[in-house]
Amino acid sequence: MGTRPAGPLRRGARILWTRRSAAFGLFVVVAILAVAVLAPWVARRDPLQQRLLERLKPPGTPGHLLGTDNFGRDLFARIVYGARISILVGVVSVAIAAGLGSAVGLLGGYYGGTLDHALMRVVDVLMAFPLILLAIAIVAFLGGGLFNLMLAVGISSVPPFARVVRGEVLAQRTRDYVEAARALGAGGGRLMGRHLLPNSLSPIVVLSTLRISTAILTESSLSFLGLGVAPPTPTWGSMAAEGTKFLQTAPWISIVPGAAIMIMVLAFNLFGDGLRDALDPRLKGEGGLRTKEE
Amino acid sequence: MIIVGRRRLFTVLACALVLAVVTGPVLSQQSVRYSLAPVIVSAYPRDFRSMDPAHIPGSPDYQIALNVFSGLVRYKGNSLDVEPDLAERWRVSPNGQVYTFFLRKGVKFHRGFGEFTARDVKYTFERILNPATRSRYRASMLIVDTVEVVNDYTVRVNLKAPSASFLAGVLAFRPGYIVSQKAVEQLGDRFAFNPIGTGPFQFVSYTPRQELVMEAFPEYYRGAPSIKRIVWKVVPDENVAGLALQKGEINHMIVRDPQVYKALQRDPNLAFTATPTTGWWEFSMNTRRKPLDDARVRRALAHAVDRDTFIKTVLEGLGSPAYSLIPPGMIGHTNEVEKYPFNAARARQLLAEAGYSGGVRINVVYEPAEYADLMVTAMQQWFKDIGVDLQLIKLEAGAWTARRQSGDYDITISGTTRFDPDQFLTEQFHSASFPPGGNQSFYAAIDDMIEAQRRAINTRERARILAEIQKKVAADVPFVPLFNPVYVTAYHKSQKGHALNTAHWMTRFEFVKIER
Amino acid sequence: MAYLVQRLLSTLPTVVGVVTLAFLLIHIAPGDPAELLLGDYTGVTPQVLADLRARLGLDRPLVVQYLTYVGSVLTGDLGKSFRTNQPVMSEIAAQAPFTVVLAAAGVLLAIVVGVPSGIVSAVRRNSLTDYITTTIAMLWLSSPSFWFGILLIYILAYKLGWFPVFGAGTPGDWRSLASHLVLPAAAIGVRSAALIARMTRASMLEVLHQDYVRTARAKGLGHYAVVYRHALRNAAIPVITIIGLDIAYLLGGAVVIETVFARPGLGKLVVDAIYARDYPMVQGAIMIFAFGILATNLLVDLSYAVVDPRIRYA
Repeated sequence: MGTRPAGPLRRGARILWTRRSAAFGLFVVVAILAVAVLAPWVARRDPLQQRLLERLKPPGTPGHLLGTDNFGRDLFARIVYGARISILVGVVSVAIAAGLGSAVGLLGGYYGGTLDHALMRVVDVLMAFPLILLAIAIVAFLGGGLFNLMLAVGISSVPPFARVVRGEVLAQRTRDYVEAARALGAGGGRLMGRHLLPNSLSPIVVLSTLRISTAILTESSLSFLGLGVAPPTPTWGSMAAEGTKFLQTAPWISIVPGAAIMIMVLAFNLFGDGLRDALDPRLKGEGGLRTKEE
Repeated sequence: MIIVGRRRLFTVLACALVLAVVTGPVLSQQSVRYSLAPVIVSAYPRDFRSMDPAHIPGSPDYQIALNVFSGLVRYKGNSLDVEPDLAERWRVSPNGQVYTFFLRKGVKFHRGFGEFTARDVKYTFERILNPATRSRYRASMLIVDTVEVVNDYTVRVNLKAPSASFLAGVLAFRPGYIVSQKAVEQLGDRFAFNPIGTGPFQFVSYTPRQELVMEAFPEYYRGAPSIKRIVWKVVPDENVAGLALQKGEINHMIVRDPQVYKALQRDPNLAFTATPTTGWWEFSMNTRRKPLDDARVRRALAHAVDRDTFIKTVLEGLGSPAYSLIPPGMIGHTNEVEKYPFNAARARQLLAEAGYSGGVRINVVYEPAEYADLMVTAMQQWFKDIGVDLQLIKLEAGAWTARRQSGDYDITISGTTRFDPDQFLTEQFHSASFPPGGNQSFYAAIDDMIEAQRRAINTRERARILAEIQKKVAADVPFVPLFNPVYVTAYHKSQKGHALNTAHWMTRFEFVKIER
Repeated sequence: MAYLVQRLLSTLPTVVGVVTLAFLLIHIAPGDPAELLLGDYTGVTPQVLADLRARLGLDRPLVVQYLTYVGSVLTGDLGKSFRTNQPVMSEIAAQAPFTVVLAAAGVLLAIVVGVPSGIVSAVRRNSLTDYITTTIAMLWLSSPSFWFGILLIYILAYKLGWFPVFGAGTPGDWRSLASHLVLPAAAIGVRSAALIARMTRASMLEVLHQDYVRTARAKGLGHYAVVYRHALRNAAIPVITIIGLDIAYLLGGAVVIETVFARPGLGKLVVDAIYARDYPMVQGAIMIFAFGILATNLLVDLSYAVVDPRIRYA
């Protein structure tokens, strides 16, 4: 960077870099989705089939592209099927978070007053509760299982959605079209559903993409602590967690799922960033939207 | 170009700063492995809870108590036979109910708490019997009626009934460790973390969740031990502990995870002592629920299990196949029982006979501890191969205890280690112990035999009854034992004298020396 | 000052909310603390169980238990741990410093590594260095912390031997404490470091184009001075925001890191207490966590005023 002022060339390069990384992110996300959907065809082997005598084979062994794990299950197949669970966990928990959070934000932002105060207090309480502890508590108390896991991760992601949506609603509430609609007799529900919510969609979408990666990482930490999904369901998180004890004897068992998580999270982050830049550049730098992990 | 220079300068400065921060600490590392000081630094997977013999909750605490206390008798070498410890010799009355112990003279308690006398023995036993102490070992002490101090070095214990396991199962085990009356009265609650005993090592300090330090007791009646200091560090992840051992930050650890063992084996500086334990891991079937109420189904599941491959592969050889209720090494063990060898075809046949040829679904409720995860994963495949869909319900400690006690499960997994049949027969197979007790299979067919073996004083008679029990249980198959685990102690090769006792696969450091 | 008091007061309802939530969660969980405490005690009779439950105060109605607890908290008594019978406060006081130190070290590392990387990245924008730094930053940001932690141990502590494998170090020996802190801080702080790097880069890029920067440069001030005095100041606010928002994550992430690195601390304390259904310990520890998070938020807000003179609190 020299003494020249930033010209259109610089700015263009920057947008291109952002777009390119976002495009890369999107590409990877779509690829993972495709693999997940087409799992039975992509992975030629059964991820659950154990062959104890073929365990701990390294990648490159004929018939096992990525090797086998402690029970002789094909690692490649488990990674492919694991993509399904990871995406499912990510999407469902974020859907829960977005749903609950947006509802809270909409109601609070629109009606204001005591309701808003009360709702925001609840959100504050959730925010002051360390994320992982909340997830541990929910999983520990409701039992294991996929749904409870998604619920736990989802609930712990509610605060950012609530805050962002509320912020949007507060900003929109004073706009002309809202006044106009109200003058025409539109009730709260209609206003929220027809106008406020759709206009808040872009931050919700951006935040969703970014929070999917948080969800995946939280699931892996819970698996490490023993609170993840019960076997034999392969999830990248539990595979990485169980694999750590094989670092010296069969490192691929942990490294491959860990790398898979990294790539997927990276992709969602890049894509989310790109979305944010594209949809609403003014959102950049705002604390509420940046990824808050785990 | 000054601009480039400044930027470079900044980068260089930043790197220098980072390097400075890093090299300082690097220079301050110590390696325990390479020093020949008589110090043991060992790792334990969880924090210590209570070293009071009346309350010892589990392994790490037992490991401490083992080295800090002595009992009237102790296990000999690598067996479950007993030899004199605080009692030089003893006499048993013909009816088997009166034990007279002649105590060793001149035995000192740690930290100046005086000399050991018969009064401490009386105090120790009565304390455990006292409901106010809420000792978890009270039940095993209930066989004791009264304790009399005959004189300073003679104590008489009157039992309510003859008991074959009094010496090996009670006195040599945790509740039998003699505590100093003076110390308990003085320290009260604090005794749990400041134990005063007569053993080879005395307690020095405890830093919660971090470490516990013991040092040699110079006035130990068998002579001061060669090891001068033992430091126990809490390391929850066994994998990390293994790395620390290889690096030399610790020089001793107990290895239970087969993978950690496998990794450690490659290190030429380490030596290992492996001990088969008198423990077993099994799955219990709820005989009150369909389809497990049908013995044919249970036998089918027993046939579905491939112990040998499991032990050889998943356990990396750290175990031996278990077929019988009583593990090898324990009194009365016999392998002449119905074994249900691995035979998937036979299993399917049995299921068909019972009417389940179309498949059946059962659940297993378990806590993800130690071998449970490995077992349920293997079981799922074994059962799938014979047409049984095994549903896994994984719960954490509190929730699992609640579920187990409610009896709401088809199968549960558990692992136990005991030293005498009396310690588990009632608890796990007597009808008085249905859940919330420990009889997880709701088995009620051997109540009278359990009571008979307890009354038998004659060892041969007792062994006979125990053999009958084992045969009956194997025939009824309310539970399927899978393997007897082998635990390994890994330590730097400069340590000599390690020999694990089957009873407590933990190290008695008075026998260990460090030499080149 | 008035602002400070007002802020402190306004955090009270939140703390009450957190404690109530913790209370409810732990009390409705399956698993009876008394039964768990008695464990393998084969002499458990209904009487023994009832006695213990009464002693622990579990036989009273939930509302009564709640109010009793709140009452005792207001007098500063957090109760006694079910498991060790020692005051909860003293156990927490013994463990909390480790977690605080870990989180602080993580933040420090995040700033020390993140800010310079962000600057370098912004200044050498779109060059190879930029791409590489950003990609590495993003990759770190994306990895599970326990996995990253164990890899760090394996490579840096074991294979290369540069750092100790586990533990917190010898108390009192600052060098030992420091060397034991590096890897855990790296594992816990690297995510924040990556975020801070990105944010610094973004802020600096925005600012470096602004008029006042051009003016300053036109005035002939050295490049160095321009970068540091003007642009960095502006980047400070978003960075501080990140740190503030990250504290909850850092404190929560301590659970995993403390387990992996065998360090003492609140994280593991709370998890163990949850498993053992040690109600007073869970409630007390979570309350302290909440206080910690809220206190940090306050600190963050106050530091905005320090960094940017335009921000003032009445």
